Amino acid sequence: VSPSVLPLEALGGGWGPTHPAFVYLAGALAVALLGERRPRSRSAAFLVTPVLGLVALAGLAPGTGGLVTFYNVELAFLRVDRLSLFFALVCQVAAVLGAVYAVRSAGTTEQVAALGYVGASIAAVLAADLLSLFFAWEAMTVASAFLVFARRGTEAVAAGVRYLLVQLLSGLLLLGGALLAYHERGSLVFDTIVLGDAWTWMLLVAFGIKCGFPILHTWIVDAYPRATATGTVFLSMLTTKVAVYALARGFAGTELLVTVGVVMTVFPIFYAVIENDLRRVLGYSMINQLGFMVVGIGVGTELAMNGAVAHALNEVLFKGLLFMAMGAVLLEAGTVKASELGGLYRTMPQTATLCTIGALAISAFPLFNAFVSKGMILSAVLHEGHVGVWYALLFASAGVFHHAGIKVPFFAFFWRDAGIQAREPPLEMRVAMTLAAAGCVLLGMRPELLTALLPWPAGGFEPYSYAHVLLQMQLLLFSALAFATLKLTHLYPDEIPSVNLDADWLVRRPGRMALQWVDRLAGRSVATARAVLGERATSASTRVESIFGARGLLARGTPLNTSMLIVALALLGSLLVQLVPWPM
Amino acid sequence: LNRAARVATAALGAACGLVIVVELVRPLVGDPHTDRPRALEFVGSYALYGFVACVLLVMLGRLLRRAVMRPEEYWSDRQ
Repeated sequence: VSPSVLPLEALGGGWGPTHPAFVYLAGALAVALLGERRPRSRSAAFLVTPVLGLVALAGLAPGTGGLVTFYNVELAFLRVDRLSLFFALVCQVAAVLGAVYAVRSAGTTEQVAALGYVGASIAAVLAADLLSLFFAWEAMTVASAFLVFARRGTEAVAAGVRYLLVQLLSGLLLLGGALLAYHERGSLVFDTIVLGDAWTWMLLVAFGIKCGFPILHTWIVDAYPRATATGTVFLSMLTTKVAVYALARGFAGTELLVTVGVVMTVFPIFYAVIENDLRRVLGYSMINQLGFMVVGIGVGTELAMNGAVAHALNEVLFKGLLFMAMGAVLLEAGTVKASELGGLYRTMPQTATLCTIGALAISAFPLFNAFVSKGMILSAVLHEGHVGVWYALLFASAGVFHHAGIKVPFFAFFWRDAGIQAREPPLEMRVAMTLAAAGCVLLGMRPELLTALLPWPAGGFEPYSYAHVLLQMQLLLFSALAFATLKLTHLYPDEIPSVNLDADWLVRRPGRMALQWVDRLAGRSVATARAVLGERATSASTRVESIFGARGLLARGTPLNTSMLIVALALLGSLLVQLVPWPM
Repeated sequence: LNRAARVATAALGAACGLVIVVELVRPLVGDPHTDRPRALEFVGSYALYGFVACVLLVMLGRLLRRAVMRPEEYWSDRQ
């Protein structure tokens, strides 16, 4: 049974409830309208929106609001308590960092998509019922997919379509689970769920897809490395954290999650060691970090839950920072493949330093933020008697340092000189990275700032005890020693241009074979039709081609900006529909 | 090895030595904050664990590579 969330004092906002998601939708609309013609105003709108979002968030009163009746179903899309507010804050932090980073480099499409995506994420964590959650969930899916598409090119578009399919599957399961839940218990309320009926499993898998559960995780390492430099920063900070929120709200204390989480912490580090694309290394590293959070949620005690949600905020800071640094490398050096990089610290010293801070933070060095949150999770795991799990998590902690802490900065910035001519990224990108780095250090050195925000009562956990600091330093330094030894003795695997097969092979390989079979079948059918019908078949196929073909009437697309505008308007419209009988 | 790499390696070695010496000088036995299983209650236990874990990680990673590594154009190949 999960512990109850601490009561929330009134926030003191007197200017009435404005759902922060509306602010983001309005911002997205403004950015879309200003477009490429007014780049300065557009940048200003893009940068101001997260600030206004924060103001709107601060103005929310505790409790459940936003009650509307939608086709005879009572919906509540606004629940403000310490848990939802904490994750809304996580989204806000992501929005500020991402907006500063992407203010000049991202195109209009990306910026509109990013703001819509943040708004939808905040709407998801504030939703009090499963149907409102579903609306926000789908809005996140659509908006975020455009961050992958915006990279353009066959690879990115194909990865974006695969991403969209997986996310839509998650949405379908959520919708199905919500409807079944309504059917079986007559309520859509989203609160603690006890695993049992089919709908509970559907919801668990829906959340699990977005959270990167094993086998369901491949979209993270498929799509994130293929999105734009700025897009990946937003992607990495939001979807999976919203999923962690959903698990924390619904499935706290679910024993199964301990096992799932352990698998998530352990298997990706092996892939990270042999992966060549450094943004994909960070993707695997993200699954590993999510594993720690999932274990914490599975354990379900106050300390474990606090550790899990604190780790979510911390991950936004350090993983955001690392993805920003790799985004900068991608923009300036043109690649993030370890086999092609090296020696960039000479021309990018600031980025190298900031990336190293992110690496120290993710590795949970003392004085950095993960040291506190990871310590909370490990301590809770041991206190609840999961000794085997604890050993696995310690193994994973050493592994994190090995791949994310050493490998990423080492192969990008140090190592040999690859002779790449690269400069420091634009000023605003360095500012964003500095903000994230400052956050990592601040929350590491002053953990009480974080503890004050946590949803559950803080126990007597002391991160900076002599024992914790010393043992952690032993673990990390000797992990580094192992890396140095293996590298010097040439036992460390070389960086080879390659791809590594993952669980998506199980779908993509048969899928490809099925497509080839359909293709052959279609070819044969056409040939047969030609043989039988002669001229008539040809003229009919020309007519069909002129409408449905690659250059046909239906393929003449509207520009991406316009499409995004239509999506933003549709989202705004759907929220407005819900809002018409606004009760307050 | 160039000079910077030699210095870094030496510094790492010194730091590793230091954290072991510190535990020898001020042992953790009886420290109320020591959250570790019985089996790890010896000097340098975390150091040993970290080192062995990382060597194991890389060795198993090399085995994994044999099973899953494919050429870069594996998925873009339209065969």
